[in-house]
Order: sequence, then structure tokens, then C-alpha cells
Amino acid sequence: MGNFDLLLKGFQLAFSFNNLLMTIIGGFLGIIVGAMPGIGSAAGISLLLPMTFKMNPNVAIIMLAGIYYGDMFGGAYSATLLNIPGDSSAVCTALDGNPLAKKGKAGKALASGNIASFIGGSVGIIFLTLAGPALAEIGLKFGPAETAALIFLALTSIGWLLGDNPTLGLVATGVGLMLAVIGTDSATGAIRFSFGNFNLISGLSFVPLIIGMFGFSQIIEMAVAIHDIDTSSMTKISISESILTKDELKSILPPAFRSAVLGNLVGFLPGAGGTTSAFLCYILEKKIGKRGKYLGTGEITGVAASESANNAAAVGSFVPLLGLGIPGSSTSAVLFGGLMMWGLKPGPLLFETNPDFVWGLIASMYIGNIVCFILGMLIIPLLCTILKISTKTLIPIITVICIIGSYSVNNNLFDIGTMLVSGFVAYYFKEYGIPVAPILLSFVLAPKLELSMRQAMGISHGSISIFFTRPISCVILILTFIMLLTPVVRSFMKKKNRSKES
Amino acid sequence: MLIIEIIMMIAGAVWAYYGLFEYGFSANGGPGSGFFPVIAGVIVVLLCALDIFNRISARQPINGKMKTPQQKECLMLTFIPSQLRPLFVLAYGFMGIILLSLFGIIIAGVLTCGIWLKFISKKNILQSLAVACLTTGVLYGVFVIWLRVPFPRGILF
Repeated sequence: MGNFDLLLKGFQLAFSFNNLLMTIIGGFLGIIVGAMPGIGSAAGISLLLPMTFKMNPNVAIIMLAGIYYGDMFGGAYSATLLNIPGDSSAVCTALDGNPLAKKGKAGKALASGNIASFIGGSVGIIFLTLAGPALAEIGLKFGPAETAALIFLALTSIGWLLGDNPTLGLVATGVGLMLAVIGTDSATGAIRFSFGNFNLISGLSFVPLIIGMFGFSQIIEMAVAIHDIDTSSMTKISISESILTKDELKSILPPAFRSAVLGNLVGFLPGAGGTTSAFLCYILEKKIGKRGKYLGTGEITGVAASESANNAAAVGSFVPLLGLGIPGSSTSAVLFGGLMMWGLKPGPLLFETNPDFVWGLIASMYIGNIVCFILGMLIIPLLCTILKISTKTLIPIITVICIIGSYSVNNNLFDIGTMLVSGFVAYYFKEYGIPVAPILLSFVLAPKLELSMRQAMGISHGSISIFFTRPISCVILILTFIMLLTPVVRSFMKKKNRSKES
Repeated sequence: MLIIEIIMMIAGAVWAYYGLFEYGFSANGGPGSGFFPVIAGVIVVLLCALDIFNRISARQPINGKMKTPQQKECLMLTFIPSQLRPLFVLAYGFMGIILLSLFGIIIAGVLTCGIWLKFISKKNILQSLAVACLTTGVLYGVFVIWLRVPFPRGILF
């Protein structure tokens, strides 16, 4: 059966009542989570993950994927209306969205963001439909050495792409690897780092860990914050105010399409995600856009570039996730963990062993993108009300969700403790500039890396030469070393230039 | 910052030590159970050392991003010294565990949510009760009735 036939079959699945309902619920929740300042898609999906355990994996992933791209739609609302990005990927949206709101054009800004998000998402899904199976076919040719090299590349690029200090990004990656080896070694049965605690024999639970790192750490941040969110300047917006003129619509199409393509490609890279792609596309628009020099003063083209890019990147991160089993962002790492818990192995084989699942998900994205676009326009008045909920009220509500969600995974109080401690540690990590996302990404990838390394070195009788003698793995490792060395060389050149100038 | 990096270095050293001497770096001509912990531990130790060295050589403040005087102000937890505020939130979370194991999900949910709303967020008693009951009710519906999660049975439920 060809990919097109499989996609059509996927549409049949996606149009079933349950799946359609979950697409709408996911999109709706995603827009609300995205609109609420400071929560973000990773935290939103982490908090809702426990609710999906008893669902059919198809239905569950459709809902969670809906939350992910719905979140990208929603991020523009608080960025525009409150000048506080709902998600970090909407930072650039605030640069033009809020000045537009101050000029009384909040509706136009939100409509531009919505249309651009739709374009970004649509381009991303078309890429996913074409590139996902192609990448999976390449992935099928990978042996243990190539898989290990690829994960190694992903882990190192995660560290470099996040944060101002690449060394700390890599430290965080190392911490994730350390946490991942706690528990029983699946190859030998040896119990590692349990320190006599029987709760650790099966390792650290993934869901409490992510709820803590993304949800509870956020609660601590909100609780120690200096100011509450100022909603006094927020005006009511009607749908009629949000309709764009023909010229306005024409002006946002080129930046939306440009950013969709670039944002999608950036989304493929591990660790890059929506924030990096939105920044890159915004800078590109500033340089090459017709009204680039006015960006930052309240231009709908700026909103369009940023929103299209972050949506395209969100969908783009599904390409390596489904094609190679490598999550492209922290949110897709959460989804990766979810897939593992539902008994599915993300990776090239997924397209062969579970075609209904993969194509059902892809088809649901086409529908979900349209649903989010319509919902995004219709629920503007409701979102204005939701955005007025203060953090003072949100803190205890999210805390109770964190506690109950963590317990529900294994029905174990120890998991709540894991959630609280990981959130506390993650809070201090963030305070001191250590990124948290690489911990999560390396935590989910470590078991696969360890297994592949062991298998590869088993084949070569303990020699690491296997990684260098196989051409694909050798090329990937060379890329890894280039990636590792680039910042070192760059800082050396900077120092040299500075000493020359002085 | 230095304290966090030193703690991570110690943890990395422990991982490497256990990997080498307890679990076995190699077994049957291939990597053993300790192989991966050694790699992870060594990476963390070396990179933390590198970061500390970089900070010292660049003469950056070794304490990293420390609290500014402005951050002593706080929206809600003004009655607690600034450095203890995160610890207070952690203790509040642990209070939730104790309440859950003692009283079951309904009372624990209402108390955990309501106590913060009434005493920290300074909402009036009616608002606090309404939000706490609504939140707990929705979560009870989802987790207990729909997902059938067996929560600890408390005094009443």
C-alpha cells in the first residue's frame, strides 16, 4: 500500500467520532494552555499525560499532538494582549503583537497570528507526510553503531542549541544520562544506583520526573515571582474586529510561507524547537521582508513570521520523532515517553509495525490544524476571560494536578516525592542558567543509546573502532565533533579578535 | 552555582566509581553494566570542572546568577526569607502527600488547594472553598471515576 493510500486510511481513522472529538479537545486545551503565561506546551502535556494512560494509544496521541500544536496557536494571545509570551516560542510574537494591541489592533494581530500558524502548521504537516516515511526508510538501514552515533549527535546538539552556556547544556545532558541508568539493567539484570530503595529498582518514573521538571518547577517560579500578571490593559476583542483586509492578508502570506519552510527545517533539529525557529525566522524577516525595518514597532508581518515558524517547527519535530525515534524538542520528548508507556517504540519500524497509528496521527494533524484555526478565532472572547485568572489562583490548582497526576502513574506516593524533588532541583537549575530540556531529552534517549552502544561493541568484541569503520556512523560522528568544536573555535577566534583590537 | 556544580561533580564521581568497581565496566568482551554510568559520570565531572575553570579564567562571578535585592520582594510569600521561599513551596507539596495518605483524595485536594488560596493568596473563604472544591471535583471525576485510579483511602473517602 502506498503512502497516499495509507494517508487516506489514516483520514478514515481520524474522522471516527472518538478521534475527532479528541482532536477538538486537544486543540482547545492546547490553545488555552498556550495562552496561559508561563505554562508552556511541555508542562501542559506533562500534566495531561496521566489522563491518557487508559486511553487507546491512537486516541491519546491525537489528543496530545493537538495540545502541542494548539499550544503554538495559543502562545500568541498572551504575547499580544499582555506582552507575556504564553510559551517561549511566542517571544518574537510579543515584539510586534503587543505594540499592535496598544494601537488598538489586537484583533488584527491575533488574526494574523492565527492565519500564519495555520500556514506554518499546514506546510509542516505536508513535510511530515513526505519526509517522515522517507526518513524512516533511511532509519531502517541503521545498525546499532549508526543508531548510537545518531543519538550521540542528537544529544550533543541539544546541549549546544539550548542556553547561553553550551557547557552547562552538556552538563544537563550528562545529568539526564546519570538519572536514566538508575534501576535494573535490562541486559544483565544488575540493579544500579537504587541505594537500597526498592522504589528505585525499576528506575525513576518518567511522568513524575517531567511533571516535576516542567510543572512543579514552574509553580515555584510563579510562587516566588515579584509581580502578578497585569491584565488591566487588556481590552475585549470581538471576532469582527479581527478580520483582515485583502491587503493585510496579502502582506502576511510571503513571510508566513518563508517562515513555514525555514521553521519546519529548524524543527527537525534536536533541541531547536519552536523558540529557535521563531527567532531565526523573525531575524530573516527583518532582513529580507518588505517591511522588515518596521518590525518591532507593531507589524502584522512580524507576528506572521514568528507564529508560522513556531507552528512549523512544532510539527517538524514529529519528523525525527516518528522517522528515527529521536525527539526534536522537549515537548516531543514528553510525547516520546508517552509512546513508550503505551507500548509503542518510536522509530523507523513504527511506520511498518503500526501504520494505522502513524497515519492516523498524521491525518488527525491536518484536521487538527483546521480545528485550531477555527477555534483560535472563535474563542478569542473566552481566552480574554481565562487570561484574567491570576497566578495566585493557578498555583494551588496546578499543584494539586501535579500531585494527583504523579500518583496516578504507578499508584505510588514515592512518585509524588520524585516529582516534588525533581521540580525543586529543576527550579534551581533554571535559576543558575542550566537548561532543563536536555536532561529530559537525554533521559528518554539514554536507554536506546546504551543498548545500541552495547550491541555495536558486542559485535566488534569490545572495540570502539566499529563506530569509525562503518561509513554512516563515521560521518555522523564527524558531524558531532564539528558541532562540539564549533563553539570552542568561535570563542577562540573572538578572544583573538579582542586581543588584536586592544 | 559553585555549590550546584560541586554537588553534580560529586554525583558524577559516585556514578563513575560504582560503574567501575561495583557494576563492572566490561563483561564477556563487551561493555558491562557499569560502562554507561562511567561515561555519564565522567562527562558530568569533566564538564563541571571545565565550566568552573572557564568562570575563574574569565573572572565571572563564581556564584553565577545570584538573587538581586529586588528579588527579595515577592508577590505572595513575603513572610518568608527570600532564600527559603522555594523550600516553602516544596514543603507545601510534601504537605499534599501527607494529607493524601491521611485523608484520601477529596479532603487532601480541598485542603491543599484551599489552604494556599486562603492563607497565601489571601482570597476570601468562599472563593477559596469554591475553587478548591471545583478543582478537586473535576480531578476526582477524571482520575477516580473515569480512570479508576486507586487513591489511598483516608478517614472519610
